[in-house]
Amino acid sequence: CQKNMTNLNIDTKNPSTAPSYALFSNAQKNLVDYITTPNVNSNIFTLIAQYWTEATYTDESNYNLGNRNIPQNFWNNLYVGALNNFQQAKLLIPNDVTDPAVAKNELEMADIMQVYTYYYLVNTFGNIPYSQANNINKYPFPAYDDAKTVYYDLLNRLDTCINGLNPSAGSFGSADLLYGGDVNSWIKFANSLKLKMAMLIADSDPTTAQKKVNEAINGGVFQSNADNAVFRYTGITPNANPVWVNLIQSNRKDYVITKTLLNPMVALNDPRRSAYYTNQYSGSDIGGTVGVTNTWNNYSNPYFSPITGTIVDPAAPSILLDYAEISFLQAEAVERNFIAGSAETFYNNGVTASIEEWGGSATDAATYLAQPSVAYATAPGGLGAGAIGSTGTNTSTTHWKQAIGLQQYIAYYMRGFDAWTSIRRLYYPAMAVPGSPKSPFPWRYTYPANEATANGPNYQAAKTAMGGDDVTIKLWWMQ
Amino acid sequence: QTHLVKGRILDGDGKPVEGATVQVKKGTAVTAADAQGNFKIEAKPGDVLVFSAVNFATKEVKLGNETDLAVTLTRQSSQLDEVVVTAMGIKRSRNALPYAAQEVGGDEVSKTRNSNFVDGLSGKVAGLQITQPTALGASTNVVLRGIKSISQTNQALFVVDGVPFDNTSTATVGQRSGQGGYDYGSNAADLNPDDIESISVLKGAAASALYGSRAANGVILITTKKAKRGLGITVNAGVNVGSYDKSTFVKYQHEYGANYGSGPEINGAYPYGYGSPDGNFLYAPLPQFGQNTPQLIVPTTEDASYGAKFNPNLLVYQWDAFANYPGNPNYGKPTPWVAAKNDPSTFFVNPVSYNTSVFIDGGGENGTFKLGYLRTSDNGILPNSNITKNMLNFGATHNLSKDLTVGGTINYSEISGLGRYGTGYESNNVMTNFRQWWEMNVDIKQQKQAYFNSGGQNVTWNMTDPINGNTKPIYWDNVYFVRYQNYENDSRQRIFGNAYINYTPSKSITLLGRVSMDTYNSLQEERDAIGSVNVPFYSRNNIFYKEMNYDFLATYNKDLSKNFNFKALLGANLRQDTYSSIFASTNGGLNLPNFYALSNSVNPINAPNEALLEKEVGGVFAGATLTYKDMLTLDGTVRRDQSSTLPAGNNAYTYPAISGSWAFYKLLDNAPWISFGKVRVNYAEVGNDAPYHSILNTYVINTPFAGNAMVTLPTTNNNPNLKPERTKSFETGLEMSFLKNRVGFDFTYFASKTFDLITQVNASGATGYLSQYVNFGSIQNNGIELSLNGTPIKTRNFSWDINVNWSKINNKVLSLFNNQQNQVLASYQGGVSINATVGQPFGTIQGNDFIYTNGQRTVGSDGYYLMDTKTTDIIGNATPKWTGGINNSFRYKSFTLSFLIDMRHGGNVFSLDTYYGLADGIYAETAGLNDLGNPSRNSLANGGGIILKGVTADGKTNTIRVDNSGQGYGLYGYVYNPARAFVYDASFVKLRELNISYSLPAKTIERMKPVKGIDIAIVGRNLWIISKNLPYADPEDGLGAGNAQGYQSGSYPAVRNIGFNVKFKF
Repeated sequence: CQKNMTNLNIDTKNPSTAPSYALFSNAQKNLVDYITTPNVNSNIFTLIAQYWTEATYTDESNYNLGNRNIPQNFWNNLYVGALNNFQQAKLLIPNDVTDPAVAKNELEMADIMQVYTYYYLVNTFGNIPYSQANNINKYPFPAYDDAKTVYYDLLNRLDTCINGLNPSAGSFGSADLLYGGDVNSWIKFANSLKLKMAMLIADSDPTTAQKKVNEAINGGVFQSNADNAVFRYTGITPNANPVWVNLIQSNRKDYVITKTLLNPMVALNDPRRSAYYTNQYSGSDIGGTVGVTNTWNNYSNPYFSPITGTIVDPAAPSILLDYAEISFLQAEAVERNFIAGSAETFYNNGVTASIEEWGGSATDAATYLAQPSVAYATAPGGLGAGAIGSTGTNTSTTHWKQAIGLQQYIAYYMRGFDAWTSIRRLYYPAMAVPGSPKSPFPWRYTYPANEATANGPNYQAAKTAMGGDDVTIKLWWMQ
Repeated sequence: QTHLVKGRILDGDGKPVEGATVQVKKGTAVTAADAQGNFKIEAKPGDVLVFSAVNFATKEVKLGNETDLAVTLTRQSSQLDEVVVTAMGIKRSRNALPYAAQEVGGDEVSKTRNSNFVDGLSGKVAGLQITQPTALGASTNVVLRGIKSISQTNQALFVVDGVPFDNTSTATVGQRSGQGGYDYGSNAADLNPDDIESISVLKGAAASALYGSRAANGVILITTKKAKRGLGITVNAGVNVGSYDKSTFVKYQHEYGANYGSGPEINGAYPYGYGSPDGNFLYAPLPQFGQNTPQLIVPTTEDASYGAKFNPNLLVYQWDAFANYPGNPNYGKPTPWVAAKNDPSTFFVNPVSYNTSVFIDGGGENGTFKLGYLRTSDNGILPNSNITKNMLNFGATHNLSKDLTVGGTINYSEISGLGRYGTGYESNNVMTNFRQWWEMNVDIKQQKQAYFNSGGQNVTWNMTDPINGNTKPIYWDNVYFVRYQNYENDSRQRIFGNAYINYTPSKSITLLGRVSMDTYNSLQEERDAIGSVNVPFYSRNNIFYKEMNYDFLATYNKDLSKNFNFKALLGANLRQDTYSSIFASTNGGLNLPNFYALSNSVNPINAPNEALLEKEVGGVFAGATLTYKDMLTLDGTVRRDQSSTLPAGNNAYTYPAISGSWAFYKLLDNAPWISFGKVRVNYAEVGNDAPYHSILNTYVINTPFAGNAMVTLPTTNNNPNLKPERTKSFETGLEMSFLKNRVGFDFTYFASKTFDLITQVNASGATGYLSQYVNFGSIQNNGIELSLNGTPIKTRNFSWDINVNWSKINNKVLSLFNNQQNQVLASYQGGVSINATVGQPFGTIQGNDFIYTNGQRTVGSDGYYLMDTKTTDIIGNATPKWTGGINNSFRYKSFTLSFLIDMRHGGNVFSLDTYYGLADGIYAETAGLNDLGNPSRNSLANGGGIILKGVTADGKTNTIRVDNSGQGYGLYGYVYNPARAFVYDASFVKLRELNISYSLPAKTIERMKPVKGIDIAIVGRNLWIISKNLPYADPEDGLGAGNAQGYQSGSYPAVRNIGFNVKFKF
């Protein structure tokens, strides 16, 4: 019996080998789940960006990150669920894809997904494990890399990917859950991501930003909503949209719309209101106050929507990157003199794309834009003075920052992380001070509690390099 | 001049006492009685023969000239018996036992008629910590001499008649981490207590090393009854009634009703409130009830009681106004705002449980047999809960020839559970409601009426939006709906048995071959009915387990000379384990109501989860014992195991044990008051293998996405370089008894160190894994165990026996992986975790603490406590400082009264119940009067508020009064207090058992042939918690068996049991 004894360790109910494409598909889905879910245990960006506030249990709306280990769950999800599987796919592709041209395309796509994932991590925490990440046998205790170094490396990787993609060869096919393996779409997606990443450093490194923005536009960015990076949920659990799972299927009524989002939308007669929320009980638009107890049925909330295909649909799509944001970013690039063109046109394109994306018509958009309060030239600088977290600091007074900032914010609905990043970049719109805040407005997440114990020395070094581990520490690209 | 004396040893029922020891007092001759109770010994007239046997009082007979003796031994349950069953079923005289082993008689665990005999060991063995959860049928934690392994099991190994008996918990990781689920109990409870002859607890590794790896945690060695010559029939019938212990349940306030506080008053209004002028009620017209002006409506969504003060003159629309069920007088009507007449304590029922057993044994010249049947039906204090056990056991031996015996036993048990209690933080745990989230205006009896009158609908008080017609639950189901609709059911059919052949080719050699099997099939079905707050589902988990053991054992026993005896054994064991399970669940809800099958799934079901875990361990062992004059004993064993769960090349490990004892009393002729004295010392090592599938990584297949295969890497990185885990232990002890064994003690000091611990350690998520398997670190245990026994009074009609067991264990984590100082074992809701921390006993509870100034809690300038933001402060430790038990037994003629006091000192428990419940204002202390004599919940302007006990940062006593009207959650709960505030001392003193029994006198019985005896008993269990420091709950309760103890969430109250039992012997 001793000869085959060791064979008992072979788990006959779980495979020892797997095809690279199945790892890639699953990593894509994991990533989209994590950035889409509004589950209060893992993703609270919709609360931090003040689209929603909690009705009864208000801890997270008050920036309590620790109670539910939010930083740890977000970190683990992205490194373990997404990055590690993309990494494993990259290791397997050269062996299990016979056509080298196809293998090359697939490697670039997996790499683009990793760049996309790291964009979240590096801009949530600052310094992060990067060069030693996802290699447990070699680096059981991965050291942290400087956030800025990581970011420039990501930009370089993206360039390599864009240059490496070959439209005349195939790729994943249907296993690519974003574009069905269409290489041209991936080139557009990568260039659009490059544009977005370049604009993040527009203040800290305008020279590089301008160069990269122009390269991206020349390479071809999104031209319409048809180009959007959309993940289409099937609607059947576990492949249903996590927003539906957490809001509708769970039967809980945990969130209401905040005044921060609702007031400007009401003031601007925004046509997206009916897609974003329903008016409960009182019948009129009423926004909740951030961080205090808000009786769920007294306030507008996101639980019912007459528009199919929107957030409360189990098959609602999730957006990874869209034409609207690329338009707003280009409007901003014009204002910063990075590119030539009309900021107003880009602004109008962004607003129109967003309204159409949420089920509105071009006419709706035109009517909306025709209002002086929305029209780019006349949009007021401030619906209330811009302030973040605490009064009197970081007020954005530049007109275009306010005008674009507000529309970008409205358009980023349900994409809490992007909204948070936009606010941290443009300092607009103003975030309310919650009812009983645990901390000032978070500029970053604290590191996961587990890092201090499971990766202690490296964590301590990172903490020192960052100047501490508080939410008030600004990331390198922030003004 | 010695001559051969023969005789027969019988018990009070006239049945032979097998294996009884006969020895010549102060001499060297010693022998044991055979299966028929016959013995032969060389002695001379004037010698005193000492007769002793497990569970019998020692008897001395002074020899005259007779050569044929008939000796009757009286049964007793003493802790210091003369013959002890040791590893491999070898019986040893107390003189020659070189390690700590404590015996408990079978009647000790069966007399309380508890269907889980394991609970009956509590307080009876020094060094054995038994932790019984309060929920019906929940698993019992059984740990001997402290925690030795960080992530592997620390449960003692159960061995029945030489064969390991599985006690694996099937609780899910979620259940054990407080997220909800069911505790399916301890498998060791699948044994008929009436079939237990004796239990021998082998505490240290030296005693148990022969059982291999699993014995590192000690062994509970169970010897079942052996049939004796003649026919015996015992019939037991019992009934018992339970009731919940009020000291282990919430004391509610009855002054305020639903709400989380009305919010601050601003200019005489409550803008953050619900709309009514006082902010505590919804305020809306109810045209459906003909009310077109705003009415006061209870905020049914608010599962807290920091709302309006009760006022019988105030009429408000409560949940029942919106519940249109037959016989509801309040539908559409407002009702007075008063505290519920029936608070949640009226939810509990007084269960009646039954047990019946028959035990038949008999034997003749060529063989013996026994047949037992036990049926117990235990009902819980929650409605619709029952666990029924049917156990059938049969055993027989047959003498094929003088030197060849074959035998076997087979036990069949069938356990059926219905409505086990939901655990953890979950809507199916009704205690989460009652202890954490409740409105004091809700009447339980009315909820009951609503459930039954509506025909089983989920008519909840916690309606989503009743004004607009949405009466579905928002967070909490009707508790009766939970119990009658969202119930679980389970069953386990188990077969445990062995067959052996015993060959004695010569007087000194015995060969034993044995095949044994322990196998069960288990089905666990869970459901949430349509209408539940959760997504309705039905799931089933089919579990199959099988352990096969093939044993060969050769023993050699020879007197080398007059003074030297030599025993040796040589054995081999092959063990094969198989565990397989299939778990499947419906997906996305249920279609048809009240129909529970996978086919009733709304969406196509996802692929079931399959597991197949297999393991094989091969072991060879040898042992030798040299005894000099039954006084000096030297004992050595060595075992080599090879386990399939370790990597090839690193999967074999050898471990030795050596022990010695000296029964020095034999030299103390000049001190006749010393009846017994022995010192013993031993050293042992034990190796342990790895958990299943911890070497090689495999992928995880997930549900396909639109036809695309989905595969991920696992989240734990396995380790192909694991090596065996090792425990080294040392033990020394002194046993003495005095005054003809009237008083005695057994003292043991032990120390053990476990290292190369195989543990799943947390990894930085940046590695791509959440955890990895490694060998690391070490844990040390040392401690003392003390047993005292005495018979202060002994007369013909009256006797008093007392027995004390006490043990103290110093457990310390010595080192952890990669020089880490801390390893998280489990993280829980409430921001607390249970950890292994270097330099601390295992099980530190971590969370945030108060900030202290000069040792006192610091209060900030706003009058509230300052709290540390770190959640890694050590705020408690789950490991108790010492445990003990005192058993007293009084006998007057045929009456016996005995009671057991069970104690635990030290150790902490974190309560999520008070963490939330105090914030929600349901507990009595959250209301009432303040130091000024005003209701503390009054606004500060109205003389309310509380001055928190503490000092300001400059050390001065705090004088600032803070609000207690529930603004931003209550003052006493988790918002204004750190986790430390909810850590309690888990010490207790319990009256664990009380028995009063009466045996009909022999004279009476003689007239009642064929009846040989009738015993009548009143038995009580867990009658009284004499002392505890944890309010409102039983400090012993937890999340079931496992390494992470010290956390309560939705704890069930303790249950008192009083029973009546009649035993007939024929």
